[in-house]
Amino acid sequence: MFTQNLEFKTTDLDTFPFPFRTGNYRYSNDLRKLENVNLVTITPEYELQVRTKRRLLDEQPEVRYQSFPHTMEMQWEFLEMVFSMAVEKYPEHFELVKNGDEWTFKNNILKESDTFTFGDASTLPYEPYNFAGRHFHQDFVLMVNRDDNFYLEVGQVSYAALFSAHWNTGMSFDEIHGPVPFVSKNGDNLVDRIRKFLLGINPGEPWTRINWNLMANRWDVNYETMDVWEPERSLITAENAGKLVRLRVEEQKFYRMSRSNAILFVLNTQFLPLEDLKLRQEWFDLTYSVLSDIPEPMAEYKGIAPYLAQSVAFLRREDEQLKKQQQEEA
Amino acid sequence: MYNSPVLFFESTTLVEILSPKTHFVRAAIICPESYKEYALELQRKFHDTAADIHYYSEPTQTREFIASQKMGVCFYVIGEWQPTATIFTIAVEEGVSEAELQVKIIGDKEKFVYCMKCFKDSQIPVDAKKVQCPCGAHLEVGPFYSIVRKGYIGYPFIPLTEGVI
Repeated sequence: MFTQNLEFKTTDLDTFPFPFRTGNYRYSNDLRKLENVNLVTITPEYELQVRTKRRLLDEQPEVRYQSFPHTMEMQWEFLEMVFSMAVEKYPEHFELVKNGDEWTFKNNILKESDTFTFGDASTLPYEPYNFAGRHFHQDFVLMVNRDDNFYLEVGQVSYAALFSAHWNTGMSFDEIHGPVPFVSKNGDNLVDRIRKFLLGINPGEPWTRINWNLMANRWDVNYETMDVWEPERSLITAENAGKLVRLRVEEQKFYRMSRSNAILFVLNTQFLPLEDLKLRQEWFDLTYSVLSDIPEPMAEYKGIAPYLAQSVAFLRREDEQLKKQQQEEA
Repeated sequence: MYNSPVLFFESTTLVEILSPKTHFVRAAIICPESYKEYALELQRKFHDTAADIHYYSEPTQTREFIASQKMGVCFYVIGEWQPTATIFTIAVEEGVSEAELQVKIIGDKEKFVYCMKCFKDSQIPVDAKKVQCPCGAHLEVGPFYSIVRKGYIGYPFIPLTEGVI
């Protein structure tokens, strides 16, 4: 039975990719060059996240993982890339032994060891992409470059925010972003601009950007479970928003695959309950300011309109309490 | 290929009135013989371009006809939804692009919704906003179409019970 719970939140705030730099947020092409190109990250929540991700993949395989049969070579390229990065960055946690085409990958955190024949998917319990992705907490989406566009051909997604690997499979970058009211401060069509930008990414020079959302009492929201989570959003009040509403931050990384020429989207999703924002006053102030100023179309697109006002009310109350406390101390 | 075009409710190839497309050296009009009048009417609109008529009766012959056409031919398909969808698919399989196709549907167009609960398509009234899937799920019909799933997205929802707020 598919289940969701709130056991996961970021505990090491230094690893939380806080998204706001100013108190006013609008869509922009905020891509920047990735400094540390290695996508593998071990956080205190690594094991919890990976085990939950695997559970979701097992409970809803058709929802969480999609691929086309012709992608097998690209899948092996992905496996080789992420396993090599894991070993390079965390040799104490991961090992990769190559004996010709006979490879053994060891995950010492999960105490797992798998031997398989590179290039022979029948020697793995899952498709190569699905197998490799299950060792890391991120979502992985492979977009194949064709006709000046990108097409979603493999996707392993466990942290959806109004997204479905099942529905979006085979779609172009433009189709996937069709619902987005993407207009920049200058009124530019950002989907078109970002697509053109992605076309120029070179192998070995990945880029990154931060996306954000709010999540009400859920790990993720996909189209398949809309009948479940949509009514639940109305249960959010100013009183419970601190615990139930979480700032959901998606650190996106974009890699050009050197053999297939596809773009790999790596999505590292982290959560922070609104009440935890108080742990960093600057984060609290910026989030309060941004959420107070969200245009309605953006709130609708992000799916936060039904509980945005309650979330802002919670932050306002906390802000007032803090100011009152400061006045009393003064 | 998975992302080949398909005939759907809002296909760019659908027109109300067929008219000769420019930049093509020849035209091929395909329709069941019962719609011969439509074909002849269109044929008369071509003044400087040769326009052949092929009467559709079964897929194999039509496939051979389409495959035998050379580059520079534009295809005009006339008929009811189902046979036209079949001809459309054959044309795409034989390498015809949407830019080389114009389609006129006689009668009702068909629209399909893709249920995000059972992952199956079902035909719906073209103006339906909310429908019930044969699997039992209530679906809100979205504006987005998938050529892989061959339907408009059906968002599942729980209908409000009358009298209950």
